Amino acid sequence: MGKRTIIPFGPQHPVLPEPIHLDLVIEDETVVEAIPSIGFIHRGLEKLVEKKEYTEMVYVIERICGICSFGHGWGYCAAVEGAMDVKIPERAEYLRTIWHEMSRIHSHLLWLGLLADAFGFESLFMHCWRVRETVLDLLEKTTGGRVIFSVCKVGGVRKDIDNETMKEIVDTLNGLKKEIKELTDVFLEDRSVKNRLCGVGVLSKEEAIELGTVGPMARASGLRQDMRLEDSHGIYEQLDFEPVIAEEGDSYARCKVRIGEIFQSIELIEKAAFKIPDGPISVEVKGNVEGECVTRLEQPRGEAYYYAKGAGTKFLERMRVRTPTNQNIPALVKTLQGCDLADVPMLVLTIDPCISCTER
Amino acid sequence: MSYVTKSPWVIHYDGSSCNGCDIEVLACLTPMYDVERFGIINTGNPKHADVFLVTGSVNEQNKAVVKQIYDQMPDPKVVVAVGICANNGGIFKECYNILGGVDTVIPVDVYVPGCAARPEAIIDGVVKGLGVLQEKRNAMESGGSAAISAPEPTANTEKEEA
Amino acid sequence: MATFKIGKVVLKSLFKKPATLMYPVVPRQWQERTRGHIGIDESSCIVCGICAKKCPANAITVNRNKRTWSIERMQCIQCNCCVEVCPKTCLTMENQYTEPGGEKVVDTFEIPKQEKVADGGKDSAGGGLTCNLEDCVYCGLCAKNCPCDALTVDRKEKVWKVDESACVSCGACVEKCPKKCLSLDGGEVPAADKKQADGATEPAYSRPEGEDGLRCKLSDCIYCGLCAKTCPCDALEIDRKAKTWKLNEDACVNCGACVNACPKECLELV
Repeated sequence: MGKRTIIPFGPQHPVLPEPIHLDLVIEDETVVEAIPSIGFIHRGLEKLVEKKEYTEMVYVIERICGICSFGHGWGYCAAVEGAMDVKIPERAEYLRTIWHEMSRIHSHLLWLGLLADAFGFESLFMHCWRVRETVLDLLEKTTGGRVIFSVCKVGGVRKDIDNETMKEIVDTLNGLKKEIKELTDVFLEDRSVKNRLCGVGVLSKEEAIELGTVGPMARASGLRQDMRLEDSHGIYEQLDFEPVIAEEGDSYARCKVRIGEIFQSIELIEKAAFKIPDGPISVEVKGNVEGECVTRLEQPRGEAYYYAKGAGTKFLERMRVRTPTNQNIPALVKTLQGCDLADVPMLVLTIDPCISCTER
Repeated sequence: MSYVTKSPWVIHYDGSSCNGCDIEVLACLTPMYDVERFGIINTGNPKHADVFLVTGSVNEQNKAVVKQIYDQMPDPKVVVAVGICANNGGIFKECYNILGGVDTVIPVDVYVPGCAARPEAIIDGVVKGLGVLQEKRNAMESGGSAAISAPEPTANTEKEEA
Repeated sequence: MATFKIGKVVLKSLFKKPATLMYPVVPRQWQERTRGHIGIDESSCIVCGICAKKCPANAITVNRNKRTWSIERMQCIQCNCCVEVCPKTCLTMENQYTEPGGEKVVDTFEIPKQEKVADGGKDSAGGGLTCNLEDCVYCGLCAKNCPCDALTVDRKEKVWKVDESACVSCGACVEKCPKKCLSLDGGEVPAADKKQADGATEPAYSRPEGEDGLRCKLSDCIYCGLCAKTCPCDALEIDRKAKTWKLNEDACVNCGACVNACPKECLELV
C-alpha cells in the first residue's frame, strides 16, 4: 500500500460550472476513495410553498435548475393538476412534449461540449455550443427566453406555436442533423477521444441496479429504464417510443446513449409536429388544492419525481422534488474508485451532474 | 476594440445559482458571442484574474468561498454580479438559507439584471466593468507613487534587525 | 479507428462565414417574443395594484395614495404575469433588456389622475366603482369579498348596488369578479381620503413613536378586519361598527402577515 494523500476538488474549479466538493483519497495517482460534500447551492426553496400561491410557485420551481428548467415546470404543473383532477387539452400535451424534447437536445449538446472541454478538446466544445445556439434560437422564437422559458402553467401552456413556426422548427432540426452527425462522429470514432473514454469508469448492470442509477447512466449499463415508457405524462405512447440502450457500461457507452437520444428527440419532434391536433392550449383552473399526487418525468438526466400535497388553501402544504442527479451520486462515488486522477473531472461529468437540482 | 486596452482575464464562480446565468456566461465564450475577441479568457485561478463574475445569491456555506476567491485576486479588481439572484437574492430572497445578493459579502461594481441574464447583457456589464477597472488602475498609479516610497524605511529596518 | 476526425469540420469552418454575431458593434435583432423589460402606459393605469399582488418576485410596488407605480429592475424575473393580469392592459413586455449599471435600478412612474369617462351601457355608481351590467352575471362574489360590505347583489332581481359612503376603492372586488366587469375609475376622492382631508392634519398611530412592534395608521384604517382574518395567532381584534383596532401584544409574534394583507397599507412593523 502506497502513501495516501487527500486532494480537495472544488467547489471552485474550471471544469464544472457548479460548486461541488470532493475529497479524493489518492494513492500514487490512483483514486482510492471519493467523499462528496454538497450543500453550496441549497436555497431551501421547497419551503417557499408556504409563502407563494400554487400558481406563482411555478416560477420558483422552474428556477431549480437552468438546464432542466422546462422539465421542472412541467413536473410541478402535472403534479398540481393531478391533485386537483384537472385534465388539460391535448394540444397542450403535445406542445409540452415538443418543448421538452427540444430542451433535451440542448441539454445533451451542452453536455457533449462540456465533456470535450473536460478532456481538453476545446475546439470541439466550441463547435458543439455553436450548434446548440441554433436550438436556443428556436426556443427563444417560441417561448421568449433562452434558458428559463416560463411557458408552463397549471392548466396548460401560456403560448402557442402556429403551423408555420412548427414547420420551421422541424426543417431547422432536420438541417442540423448533418452537422450534429459530423461532431458526434468525432466522439465516437476518433482515436484520441476513444482512448480517453473507453474502459473508463465502468459500472456493471448489477451495480447499476444495486445503486439505483437512473437515466442515461443506467441505460448505458444495459438497463431498460425510461419514464417515457410509463406514459404517466405526455403523449409518448402515440409516438412509438423505444429507449436507446448500450451494454458496455463505461464512459464511451454513456456518450453513445446521449448522442443516440439527440437524434431520437429530433425524430420525436417531427412525429409530434405531424400529429398535433388543433384546439385550446389551456383550461382555467380555479379554487384550492386538495389532495396529493405524484408524477414522474424523464428529464435529460434521468427520472425525476414530483410530489404535491394540498390541504384546501391556495398554498400547497408540501412540495417535494426528487431529482436524478441525487440518485446518481452513489454511482459516481463507485465509478471514481480505481480511476486515474486525470480522469476525475471527466468522470464527474459523465453522470451529467446538475448540482443545483440535487440541492434545490 | 478601441475601448479595451489590456486583455482582462475573468474568473467565474457560481454561488447558489440555478445554472441559468452560468451557462449564459459560458455561452459568451462560444463562437456566437465570442468575448475572446477582446482578449478575455476564462481562467480557473483567482490569482490570474482581473474580473470576478459571480452568479447566484449567497448562502451560509458559500459565504467563506466567495470571500476567499475575492481576497485571492490581486488589485485592481472588478466584481460583476450577474443575474438578479446575485444582485439582491432574486425570487429566492425569502428563502431561509439565502443571505441576499453578493454585495452582502463583497463590494460589487456592476450589476447585470435579467433572469437569466442574456449574453449581450453580460458583455455590456463586463465592458462597463472594464471602464471601472481602468479608473481603479489609474487611481492606483497616481495615488500609488506616494505609497511606494513610504514602505522603504521599514524594509531597511527589517534588514537591520535580521 | 480514425485520427483527426474533426479535420472535416475544421476545414469547413475555415472557409465559411464566421458564426460570431459581432455584438456590441452590430446591434442584436430581437425575436418577437423575447422578454426584456416591463413597460407601462401611464395614461391607462388605474393604480389598482393587482400586478403588485400577482408578481411572484414582489418586484412591483403600487402606492395608491401617492399614485406611483414602481418596479425594481433588479428583482424582475420577466415572467409576464403582470402583463397578463392587468385589467387595463397598460403593461407591455419590451424586447430590450435593462442596461447593466453600477446601481440597482428602481424605476418609478407617476400615474396622472384620470378623467371620468361617460360610457354607454355602464352603470356609474358615482363613487369611482363601476360595473358593466351587460357582462355582469350577479354571482355576488364581489359582495362576499368586500371588506366594507359596500356591495349589494341580488341574483333573482338582477340588482347590483354599491354604497358609495362605505366603498373605499380598495379594489378587492375588481380582482374577484370572474367576468371582469368591475373597474375603479379613480375619478373622485375615495371616502377614506376625504376623512383625512377634513379631519386631522397629522396621521394618528395606534402606538406612540419610538415604540417597537406592530402599529396601525388609524387615520387610514377602514376597519375592514382583513388583518385579523390573516393573523395566525389571533392577536388582532377589529370592530367595524365601533371603529376600534386592538392588538394583543403577548400573542403577536411580529410575523408581518397582516402588513401584507392590509388593502390600505396602514400597518407596519417597526
